[in-house]
Amino acid sequence: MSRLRPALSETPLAQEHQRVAAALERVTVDPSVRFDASLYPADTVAEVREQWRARMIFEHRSSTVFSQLADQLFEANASLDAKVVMLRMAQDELRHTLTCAEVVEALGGEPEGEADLTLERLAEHPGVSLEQRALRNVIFTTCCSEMVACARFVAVLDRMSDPYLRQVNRRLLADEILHGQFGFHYLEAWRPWLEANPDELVALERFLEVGFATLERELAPTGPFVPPTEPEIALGADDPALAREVFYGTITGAVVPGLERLGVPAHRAWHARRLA
Amino acid sequence: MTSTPHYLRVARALALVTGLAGVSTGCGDSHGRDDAGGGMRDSGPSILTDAGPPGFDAGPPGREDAGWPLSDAGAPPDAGPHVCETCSCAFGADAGPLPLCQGDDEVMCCLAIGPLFPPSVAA
Repeated sequence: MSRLRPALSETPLAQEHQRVAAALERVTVDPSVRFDASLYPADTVAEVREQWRARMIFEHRSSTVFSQLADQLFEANASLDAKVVMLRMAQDELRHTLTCAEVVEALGGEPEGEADLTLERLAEHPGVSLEQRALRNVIFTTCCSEMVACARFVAVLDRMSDPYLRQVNRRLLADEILHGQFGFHYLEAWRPWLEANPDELVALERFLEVGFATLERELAPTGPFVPPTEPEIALGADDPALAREVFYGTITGAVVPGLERLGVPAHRAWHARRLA
Repeated sequence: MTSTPHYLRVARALALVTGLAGVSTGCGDSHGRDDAGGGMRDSGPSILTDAGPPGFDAGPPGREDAGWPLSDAGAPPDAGPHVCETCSCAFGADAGPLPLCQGDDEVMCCLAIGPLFPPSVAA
């Protein structure tokens, strides 16, 4: 394990980073909005702070999902725009790492955490074509995983009230929207290829059966659930019961029909879902 | 009739199920902090109209995905042309009224906000 402390160097790289970050920012940030811990119970603030610390580490790790997926897009001979946007999304996750660290600090903590920095290799799906490999990983990470993340953001924003944390969540959501939608546009571009290669569609369906079950295991918490307190709601704290509800609602109400619209037999795969 | 949760309206727009334009039923206005603690109005199954193939999603026994009957088109035609704070952040303030996005409150956590690593499935 290593000590992860997202920080900028004291070199011109930091200035370039700031230029890039400013260019990509989609939400106007009001620097006068600050977190006021005195409004909430200390234990709730501490609980939420640890959730943001976990997010910080998770975001850092997530960046490598997209950076590795960019490599796979190269090998699949994807369009230039797809590769550019994928690399941007990898960068977004790194920027989010810093944002999460800022929240940890605002909530009274040290902006650092214990993290395993060993690179986890992105799925290779042995024996499939390079095009199929990229499609599988794009659909899983963006159409599914990031789409559920978007829905969670919307749901939590609809309920939380703390001005500082609302502003942070809106900044993150603005990027997640792109991440959640990427795969649907990518699939649209690859639809003619899938239609010309029906065996690839079958292979995609077989993957989705396992992919959906994996998502369900990871993103649909199981009870017993404790209802969140009012301060937890105000601060946008984790609510596993609702995570579960949003997962099923989003997958069945948005992801599956969205994939079906593009010719992917997602409905059948969802009902045949199984862990490998 | 229960209305479609806000999070789902956004997700469906993103998944290109409903489209981002042309269904300008407006956002209502109250997804923001005024809704804090308002509870869940939509805990039951949502009524969706254009949600995919016939017979969509009865779900295997014991799964919680059961019951997403297909019907509605979302917001009533008289919903105001507002863009709520969440949607303006999601789609941009200049995007205009967003589809199927009327007032609602919902809850959720967002512990995991980055993409998960996919499973590897051999040919």
